[in-house]
Amino acid sequence: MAGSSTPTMPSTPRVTVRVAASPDGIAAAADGLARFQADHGIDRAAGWPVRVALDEILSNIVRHGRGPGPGDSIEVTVALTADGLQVTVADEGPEFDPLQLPEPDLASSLDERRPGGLGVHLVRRLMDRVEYARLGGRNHLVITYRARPPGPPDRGRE
Amino acid sequence: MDIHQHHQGRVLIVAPAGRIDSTTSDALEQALTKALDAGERQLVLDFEGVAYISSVGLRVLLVAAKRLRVNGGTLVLCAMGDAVRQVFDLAGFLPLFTVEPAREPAVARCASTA
Repeated sequence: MAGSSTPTMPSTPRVTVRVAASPDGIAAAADGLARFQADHGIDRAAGWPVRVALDEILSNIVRHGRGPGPGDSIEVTVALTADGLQVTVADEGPEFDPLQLPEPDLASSLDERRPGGLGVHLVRRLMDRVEYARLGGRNHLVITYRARPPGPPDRGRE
Repeated sequence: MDIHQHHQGRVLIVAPAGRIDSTTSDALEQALTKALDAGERQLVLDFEGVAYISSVGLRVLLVAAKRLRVNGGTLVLCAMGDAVRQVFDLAGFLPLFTVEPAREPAVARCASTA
């Protein structure tokens, strides 16, 4: 086909958005991810884990002020790779690896329960792979999720 | 986010619609705070219309549950879809809450604690 819009050998579908390090920015990134998923046939049942994970990552950056200032932006890249849906979040804030956060205490009672660390815990458990790297003065967090066909979640339960 | 609320007897049913994440959790927090400030003590939170929830949403529920516990109230959750239930499970939140499969048993359970 001569048109470039429907190549027969498609390269990795990829979209990058730059959003403000603010609640509005998080909403814009969430909408961008939802659109990308819809465009690539990833329905709600298969798409929600990545949407939750992205919310956890961005809200961690914004809430704790670990990322760039409110005037700066966060770069979110969504790509459909051979490994599954991959989202890269890059910010220019001080070096911070959320994967070093301690695991939350999930056995405590209602009164003792503290929500800290829960977001990163959810990201680890929901995603197939989570990687952090400090590259070129930026924090890069890469999450990968292979959407599985519907059925009992038998993997990882053995 | 749309949050539908109505009474069934003395039980207040709160039914948010859409996603409960960092872009919407403030609205849910305000609705629950307003209800508790108004003296509501028997709450059913209906997840029927909720696509998914992230940890900021869990925090809102934790705050409401603690407040109701202090003042002798009751919170019952119901109609969780797979996505919501899985996040509750991974967060270790299921043992902390009373969860019913559907709205009617949730209201009945909530009313019986009066």
